[in-house]
Amino acid sequence: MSNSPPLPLILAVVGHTNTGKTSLLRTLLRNADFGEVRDSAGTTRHVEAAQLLLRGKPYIELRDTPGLEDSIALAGHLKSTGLRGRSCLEHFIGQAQPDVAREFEQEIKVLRQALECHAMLYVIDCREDVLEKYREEIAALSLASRPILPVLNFIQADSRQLQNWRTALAELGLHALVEFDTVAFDFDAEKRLYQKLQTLLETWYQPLQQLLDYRAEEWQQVRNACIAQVAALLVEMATYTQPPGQGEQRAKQLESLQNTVRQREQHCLRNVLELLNFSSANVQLTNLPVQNGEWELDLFAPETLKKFGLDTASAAATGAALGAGVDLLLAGLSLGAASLTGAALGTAWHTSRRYGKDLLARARGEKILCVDDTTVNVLLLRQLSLLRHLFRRGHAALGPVQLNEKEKAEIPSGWREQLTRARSLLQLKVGVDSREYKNALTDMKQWLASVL
Amino acid sequence: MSLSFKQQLIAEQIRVIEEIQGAEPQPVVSSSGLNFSSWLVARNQELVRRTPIQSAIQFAPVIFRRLLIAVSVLLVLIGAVTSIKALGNAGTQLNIFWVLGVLLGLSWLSLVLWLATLLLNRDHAGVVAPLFGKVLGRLLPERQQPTPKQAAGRVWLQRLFLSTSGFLRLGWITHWLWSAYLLGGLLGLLLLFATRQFDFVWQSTLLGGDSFVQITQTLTPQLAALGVPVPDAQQILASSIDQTPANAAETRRVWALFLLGCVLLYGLLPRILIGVICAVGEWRLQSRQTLDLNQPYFIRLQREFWPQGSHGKILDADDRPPQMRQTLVSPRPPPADCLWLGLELPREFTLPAGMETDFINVRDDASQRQALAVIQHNKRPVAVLIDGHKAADRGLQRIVIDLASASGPRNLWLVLQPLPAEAKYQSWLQAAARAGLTPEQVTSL
Ligand SMILES: Nc1nc2c(ncn2[C@@H]2O[C@H](COP(=O)(O)OP(=O)(O)OP(=O)(O)O)[C@@H](O)[C@H]2O)c(=O)[nH]1
Ligand SMILES: [Mg+2]
Repeated sequence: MSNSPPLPLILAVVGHTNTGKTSLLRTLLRNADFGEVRDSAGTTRHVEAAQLLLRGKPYIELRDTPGLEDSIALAGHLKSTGLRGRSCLEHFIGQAQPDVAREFEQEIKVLRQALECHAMLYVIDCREDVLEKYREEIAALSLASRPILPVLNFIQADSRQLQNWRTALAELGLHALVEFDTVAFDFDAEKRLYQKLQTLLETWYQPLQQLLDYRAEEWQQVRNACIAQVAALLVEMATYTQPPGQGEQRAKQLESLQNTVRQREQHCLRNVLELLNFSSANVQLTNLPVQNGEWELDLFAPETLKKFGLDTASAAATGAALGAGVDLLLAGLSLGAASLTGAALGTAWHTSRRYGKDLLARARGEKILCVDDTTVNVLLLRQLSLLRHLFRRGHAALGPVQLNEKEKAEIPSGWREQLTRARSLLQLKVGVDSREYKNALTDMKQWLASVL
Repeated sequence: MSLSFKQQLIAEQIRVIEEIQGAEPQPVVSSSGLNFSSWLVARNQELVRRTPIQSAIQFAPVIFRRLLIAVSVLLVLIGAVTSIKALGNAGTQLNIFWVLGVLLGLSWLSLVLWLATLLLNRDHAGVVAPLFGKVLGRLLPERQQPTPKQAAGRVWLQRLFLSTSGFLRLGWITHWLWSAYLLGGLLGLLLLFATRQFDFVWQSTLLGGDSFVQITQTLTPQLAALGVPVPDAQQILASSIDQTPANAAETRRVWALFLLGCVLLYGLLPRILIGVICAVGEWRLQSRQTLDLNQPYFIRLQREFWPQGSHGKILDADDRPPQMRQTLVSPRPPPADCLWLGLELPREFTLPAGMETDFINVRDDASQRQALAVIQHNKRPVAVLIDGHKAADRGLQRIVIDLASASGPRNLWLVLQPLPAEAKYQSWLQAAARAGLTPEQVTSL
């Protein structure tokens, strides 16, 4: 056994047509633009390769192949060569009659890759019954004498067939297999895919481990970066203020406040999409209020509030004068507040929320405009469901992500404390550069990571 | 390699500048043989060299440096003027301990205050620093749309003054400025002593001569160690206001040197020393700072440096792309008395209402042969029930062709259940055409 196996490791992605081979490549490559994906037979008609790089060095070369379509007829032709193993395939590829070569043009491309690769990923649409044609496909591919790792796709759609497939594959001698849904991404599943490859391809154990570690690290980094974006958005918006205006000026300020929140949210969305390698074009979340990278619904519209199960009555009660979405906060306690810290402030804040503080502010004659609790709550819920969906979205996904109805109105526990904490920064009148602000931000990040 | 503080600072400054201006489209430096950090450093150096970024980066530090120099010079002058004014008006008799108090007292008082706030309030890094930070923050506030200069300046301010090491920077700046003031005072004294003659005296209503001897002698050993001549007990006692020292000229010289030495040793040197300690402390704290590489900008650069994957490359091209023809049809239903077959129907397939379940489902070679036999035996029109979720691949096409040649192309109907989306429907129309069926024979119930 040689110490350093040849790199890149060449993996041919094979399987019946329309089972999601190109989709698998998209997801593994984190590239939603790879190849062509369509819900019909014979979409991919060429062999296309792309490499997974680690620190600039190719580690794995994935080769997308056309789908196998007529394995039963193919099996007849292979049998008629009278040969076995690789020489059977070589003979068929090299010596087939012109009309046969034309009929099986796509299959020949696949078989050529089967001979050239180090291993194959055999993609299965596991909604299908285990038909004879699939057995014939595996039999034909096995002639290449290369390890075959079955990848069970569409596991989200239907799990009943899974056991049938496991049994059938075991009968064919394929005991190692992975469940990997290309659309509903799961990093652990990807990890298992590489681990299964490690057991099949011992020579490549080390490089595969390196690649796996690297990708895990990268995934963690990207996740954290997204969470940091959302944390910054929430703290920033919870502490955003404007001096109060009178009459006409006030209406204008209100508008500018709302615009600020919307723009800030857009900015966050753009960053998150870029971090995860999604473009605003290939994320169309219809049920979630994001469309084409723009929030579909108005953040301040009553429908949005209702959609997330939040009641606008309380916001309307206090904010009546200013309209929903804006709250009054007392300011000017600066020096006194600086000494009031921690719990004292927290409780004072709690009790004086809404009516108390409004009255107090009026009594002191000092008011500032800020984003109200209801709005920050909506912001939180939207961002949480956005991250939850994007973290589990494969780059093969075409259709809109469905928002789970059950999770929609649930504000995770601990949020009250986070919001209070961020709001206390307003009371302390400290800026973004202060230690308190940075600590609140760090806390918010940790909390978000824990609820996601 | 991890980035030094200065490299981190520049990286952050270039980040905010590029976030405003947009990043350099071209790769700035080649990545071969480097790791990400050293590539980033090389890239930044190259950008600073090649583009006008330099002026934005240097904007705040240059102002700071100029300001510091100007204020230092001013303070040297103020110090000199103050000491000359204070002593120059006092006539020829100088109260030694009063002069010491004037020159050193204030400095010591502020030093003690500084230390006290630092020690009592460790978490908040002193009282002055945050206040000062606030003031600086006002000078360069966070803006909605900053210019590159403003943005880079803010980063500089945040990193140097408002970060964890900021209080130490303010510390050494304070001590540096006090040093300038004291240096001015010292120069003023020197000038005065060089050009005028003073009689150094002490006076007190309450304290006796012993106390002054004691005070002086606690101050002198360090001076003596430096080789400065110091007044002895006799000279001290003799300098009381109501006495005339025996050796007046020598006593004057000794007292003058004593005063100069005290300002140097107890005023200037501690300030310089603490200033240096602050600067070293600042440097140590700075070297512990890290660059937040989780920011989108850096992740973007990281991907430019190490792409995650290569773009697709076609290895085995398709020379004969299929001709897609769109056919518009009005399907005809199959005749009522036809023979039903299934084509790869899944187990859970819901049959159309009222249909018998005992038909042959063609799933493999054997069932296909069985179906062909039944067709040839029955001589009835044949309707093939097909799962509309499936697209017609060549394998299914072949089966349709075989069935059509057994029944006769006019006698075969493909019944798609449910009616599929357009692409799949077209694939079945093509299969039908290859088998010699008309488009009307591809239908749905
Ligand atoms: N719901 C779901 N849909 C999937 C999944 N994988 C693939 N698809 C869909 O299945 C269809 C076929 O996917 P492709 O990736 O084009 O399949 P392929 O194997 O490359 O097909 P050919 O190139 O035609 O052989 C597309 O509509 C995909 O969106 C999956 O895991 N879940
Ligand atoms: Mg494909």
